[in-house]
Amino acid sequence: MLDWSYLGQLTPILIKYLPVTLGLTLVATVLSLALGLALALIKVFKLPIANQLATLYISFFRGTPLLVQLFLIYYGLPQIFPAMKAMTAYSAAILGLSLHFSAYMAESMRGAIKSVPSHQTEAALSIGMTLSQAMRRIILPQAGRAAVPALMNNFIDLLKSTSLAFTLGVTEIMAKAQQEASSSFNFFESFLAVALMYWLMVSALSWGQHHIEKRLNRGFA
Amino acid sequence: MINIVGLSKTFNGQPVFSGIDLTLDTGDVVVIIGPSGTGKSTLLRCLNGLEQADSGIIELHDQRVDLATADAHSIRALRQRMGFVFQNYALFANKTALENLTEGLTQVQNIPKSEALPIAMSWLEKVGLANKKDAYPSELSGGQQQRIGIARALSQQPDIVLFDEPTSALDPETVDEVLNLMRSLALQKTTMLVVTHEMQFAREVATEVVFLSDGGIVESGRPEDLFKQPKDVRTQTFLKRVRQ
Repeated sequence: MLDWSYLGQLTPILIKYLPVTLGLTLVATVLSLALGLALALIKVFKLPIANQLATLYISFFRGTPLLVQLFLIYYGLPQIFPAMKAMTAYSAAILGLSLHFSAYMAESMRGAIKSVPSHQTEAALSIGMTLSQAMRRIILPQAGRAAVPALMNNFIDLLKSTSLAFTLGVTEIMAKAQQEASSSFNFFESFLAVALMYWLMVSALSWGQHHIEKRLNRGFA
Repeated sequence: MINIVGLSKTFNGQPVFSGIDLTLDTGDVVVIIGPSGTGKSTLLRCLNGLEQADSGIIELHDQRVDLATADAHSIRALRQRMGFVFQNYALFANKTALENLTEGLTQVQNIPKSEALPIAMSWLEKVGLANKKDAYPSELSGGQQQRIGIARALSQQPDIVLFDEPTSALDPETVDEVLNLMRSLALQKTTMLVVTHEMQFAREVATEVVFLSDGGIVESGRPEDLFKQPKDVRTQTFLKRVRQ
């Protein structure tokens, strides 16, 4: 039988660790967005050498499991670069999540930029804009609108993937649920509580996505 | 005066056209006609730097640009003096009608927004679409979009406007609203280089008609001469076909 009172006691304990989960999500989202945009632009403009390196990077980070990447960064890299021994588990988790999701976001953004018709760039250039002005003022705002659904899926994946940070020793909501389950033997209640918390957060993100899309779609048929 | 000398273009080693020479005086309306696939649109795109020419010089009053070797800065300076009207309108989809006009004024010509707004509004009024200033392109008909496309090109105060088949993508009933606007621009002595299949427009408005075919200018002249008594057999065949 489900122990409702345990669920009630556990929830506020888990909520205390919510800032860790949200902090990981927020910082990794910002970093992976910035890195992903840089990778996408490198690929769209096919910058020599950088384009090949970006392709290799994206292939590696999409082609290997996030857990392996996190272990490689936290346990593997300090062996090669001793200076990295000072890296905390929290920083390693942010680094791993950022690198991993930047590869996915780069592909989402590259597809969105390519989906903007080429005559939009030509029209911007024809009035005397520089390519960077055309990108900034005409192409990227339209690409941003097209990228929202794919990027939101990436954010949602990222949020859920922060649960893997517990394997490095970061105490976020998943780690705390695991600890509480082990000490109370209420495994079902503990993992149900953490599952509900992720579900709630993802639902909030999906709600936000709907509103962002509605706002960005203004003026588009 | 605008001089185009020795303009040539190849695609993958295949010549599109070569040795094109054209001269336009202020207020001239030069209409380029010819069969599809003869490079009429490519010619305009080369002049605007959207395609790189293999050779060719353009002299725009005091500015002389080698279209085959010009750097990005010279091409940008050239574009600021040369409006371009696209076949598919190409209005900025993320900007309102008014913003489509102010974008070039504020971002390229660095005119303060407070001064750019009345300039843009006056052009919207001239094309009869001031009431659509806050509409996005997707909320406008094809004819309205093209009129705003023309207003966008003119609002930058260019020395010449290039029209790349401005009515080809329009419904038959909206073609006239764009052609009438172009007629009034011609009356106001706007210098225009127009690629079109609208022969009636060419006959009425052009100061010179150029027939482009087989990689070069076959013949050119005043519309009353070229349409009534074409000299070259290729021009005769083309005109016969379009009249049918």
